[in-house]
Amino acid sequence: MSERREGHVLLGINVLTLGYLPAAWQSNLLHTHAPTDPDYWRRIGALAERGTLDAIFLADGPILGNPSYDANNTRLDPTIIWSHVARATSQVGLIATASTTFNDPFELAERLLSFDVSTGGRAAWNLVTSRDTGSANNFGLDEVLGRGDRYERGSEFADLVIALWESARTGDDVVHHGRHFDLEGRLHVPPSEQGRPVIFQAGGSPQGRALAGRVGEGVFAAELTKEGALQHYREVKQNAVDFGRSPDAVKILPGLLLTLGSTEEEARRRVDEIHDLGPSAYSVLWLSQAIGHDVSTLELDEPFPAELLEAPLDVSTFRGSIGFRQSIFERIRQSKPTVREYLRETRYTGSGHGGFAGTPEQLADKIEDWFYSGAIDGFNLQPDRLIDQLEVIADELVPILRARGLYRHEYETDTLRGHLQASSPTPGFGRTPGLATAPEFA
Amino acid sequence: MTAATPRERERELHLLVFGHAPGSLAGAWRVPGVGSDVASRRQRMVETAQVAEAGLLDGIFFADGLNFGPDGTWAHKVPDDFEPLTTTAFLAAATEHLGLVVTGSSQFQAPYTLARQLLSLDHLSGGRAGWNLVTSFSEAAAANYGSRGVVGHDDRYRQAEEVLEIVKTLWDSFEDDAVIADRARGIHTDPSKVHRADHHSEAFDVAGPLGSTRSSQGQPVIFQAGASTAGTAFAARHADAIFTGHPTLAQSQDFYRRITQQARDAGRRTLPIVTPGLSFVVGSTEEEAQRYEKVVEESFIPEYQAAWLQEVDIDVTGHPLDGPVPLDRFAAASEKHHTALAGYKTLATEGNPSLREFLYKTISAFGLRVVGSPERIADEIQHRFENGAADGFILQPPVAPDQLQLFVEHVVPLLQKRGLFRHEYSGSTLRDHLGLTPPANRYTTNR
Repeated sequence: MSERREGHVLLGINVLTLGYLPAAWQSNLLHTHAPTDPDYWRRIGALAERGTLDAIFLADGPILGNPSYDANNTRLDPTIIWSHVARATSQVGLIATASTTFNDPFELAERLLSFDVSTGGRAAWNLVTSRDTGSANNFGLDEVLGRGDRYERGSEFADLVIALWESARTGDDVVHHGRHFDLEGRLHVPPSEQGRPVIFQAGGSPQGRALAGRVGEGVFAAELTKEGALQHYREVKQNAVDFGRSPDAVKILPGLLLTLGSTEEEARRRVDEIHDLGPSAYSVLWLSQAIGHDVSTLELDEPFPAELLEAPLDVSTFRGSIGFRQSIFERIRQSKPTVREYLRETRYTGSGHGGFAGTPEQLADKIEDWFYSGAIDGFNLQPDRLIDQLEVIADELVPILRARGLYRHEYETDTLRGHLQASSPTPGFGRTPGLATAPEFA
Repeated sequence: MTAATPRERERELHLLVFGHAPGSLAGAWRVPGVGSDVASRRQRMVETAQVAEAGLLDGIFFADGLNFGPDGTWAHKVPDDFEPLTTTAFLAAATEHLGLVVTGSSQFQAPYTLARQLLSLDHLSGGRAGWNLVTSFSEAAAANYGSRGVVGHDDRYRQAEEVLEIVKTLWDSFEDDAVIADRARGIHTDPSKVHRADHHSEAFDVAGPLGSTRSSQGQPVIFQAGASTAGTAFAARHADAIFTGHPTLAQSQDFYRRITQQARDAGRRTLPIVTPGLSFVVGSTEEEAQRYEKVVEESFIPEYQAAWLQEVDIDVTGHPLDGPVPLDRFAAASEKHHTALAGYKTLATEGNPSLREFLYKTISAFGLRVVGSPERIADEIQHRFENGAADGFILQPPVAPDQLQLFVEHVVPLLQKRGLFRHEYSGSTLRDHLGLTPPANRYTTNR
């Protein structure tokens, strides 16, 4: 690399309530009702600000999972949780997931803009189209729509929400008669300090990446390898340019399942301990869902059968995430593990999302490498268990990144869009004059 | 006959306040000192809640019309109708005791989402949430919600009945002892104590369960405001508290008697709390109040008010403001708004007001409005409270928090001195403030 990339990385936290490992609740550091306790949520916000992190992110699905072993399936509404945390914080971005399949565009636009005003311009909408039948059953549907229809609705939904947010600024009515929605009206909420909420997108399918290129300002990607990340990074940035936007208008933050320890061994031991507390079937069930094949039918000590890895994906029946499936198969083709080895390995390397188990120093190396390679704008870190790992991130990882010139020493901007735009420009695309990096506001 | 309820033995006055900042008066933004930038509007909202809590009020109440109102009002209003759930979740972190009542429509929102959002607010506020259930009548609101049209009047209440049943069933998804958190065995929840709603009808298919335990007050408190026959019947059966408004003592007493009787007839042991709206202008003295009333009058925008009346089939727009009220512009009858129309007709004829005077009178809808010294306002509250017309009031300060602050400084101490109002919060949940006990979980009861 002839010229080192300028500027700093973005750091977000994917909160997943208590942490990404289902047994996180079993820690003595947490009391039984932490997921519904306002003090818990305010503590997460305060810890994130201690580390001057850019944003905290809440995934969501309008459904209860298996509550007998998974406390993370306690699911309060993210816009309501973050509106509450808004009052206890002043700078960190607050990203809330909401589905385009199970919401009404007017109601959601009004709710998200109010949320943005409460936060003082720190809110984002993570747009998902939802893919599980269980959620559909809570909304009078037997099944969710097929992927194509879902994204078609999602895309129209997003346009309508943006138009409504604009109506709050211009005072003009929105008149929309589309395939999925008919609406004439406008919002009666003022624009926030950042104008309107930031839009994040998380899907890795071609439709998802196209939507991200068109309207996304942040992408919560799933990347297991640097090579895959590099390729998808270029693809989404190019999509943005093709839609007449600056490549800097959309920031890319892959998720990273995370365990930090003072040595690599200690980190791995921690992963094993928390994993072993949870039900053993969990990783098998998770992988089965993620690749669309019943993993319990496979020989544990054989490599994954080639016909499984090569079989064309029937997108009309597959309900999982295409992005996750792709990244998993890429990894398996590369290292050819047995099923047992893969399940074991993914404890430390991630599955779907990339994973990391090691020291803060080692993680800083990885962030530095991916950042300078032009594979990311930042990471959305997913700690195994928030309550203690978030302290390690704030007090150990962040200072290392600062010392290396990779992260800012304090907040320099007040809104989430401000944080995103203040991060490092996209390498390799040059500065294209005339392309907007952010939506324009009066 | 049923035994006396705790409320009948020891009645307590309940006070809530409309949270709308900068105030219930549409022209409040014209009052000197009211800022218009988004940060100062947010700050006003927070201060209104904090002043309400300093005054030991039961709760703060957020209306929501789900539309921007008639075209004729647009020129005169501030676009500050924030979505109530996220707003109150934010305010929950700025207060500790104050109840948070949000309006939610049974017609436009999916029951699962309603149940989930309200329970989320209830948890994050430590059991302080209330749901003002509206059945959403306006065409303008329907136009914001895609294909779903306006449902006929009586059907709306049938639908509301079903939605309320689904929402309450979802709130009970987890029995109170469902979470066992057995760390050693790795069992968080006893699945036999988690229940699907499995509600299937012509109108709704909702599987459930909801992904959360019940809150510390069991379930959010139900508020309701319907004034029609169907609306009153619904409120008498289901509402924990009823928002209403009647100009005269006799009308208020009559409503109170009827709704209480209907609730008894429906077999309720805990009767609904009746809290009419109370518009006021107060000062530390009568003179100060009258001076403030002048400010309110000067900030009032008659054109705005006239545009709103079009909603209830009264069209006086364009008529000279200082001429007589053009009664021929009132609809002869209205299927949707019969109660409101009749009320406005009375206001328009009593005392032969000019159009401007009539429009000014309508700012408190046709509910109670008192302008004057703290004693005068306390007297009116006490009189209605002690004469079977109200259990409390929802305060409508014209400018907030300014007028609420004066109410808290001057009227609340009088009410306390007269033994009508609390000296401190005796509990932490909205149910505690209202003297309501947490409802039993239906699945536990059915065991």
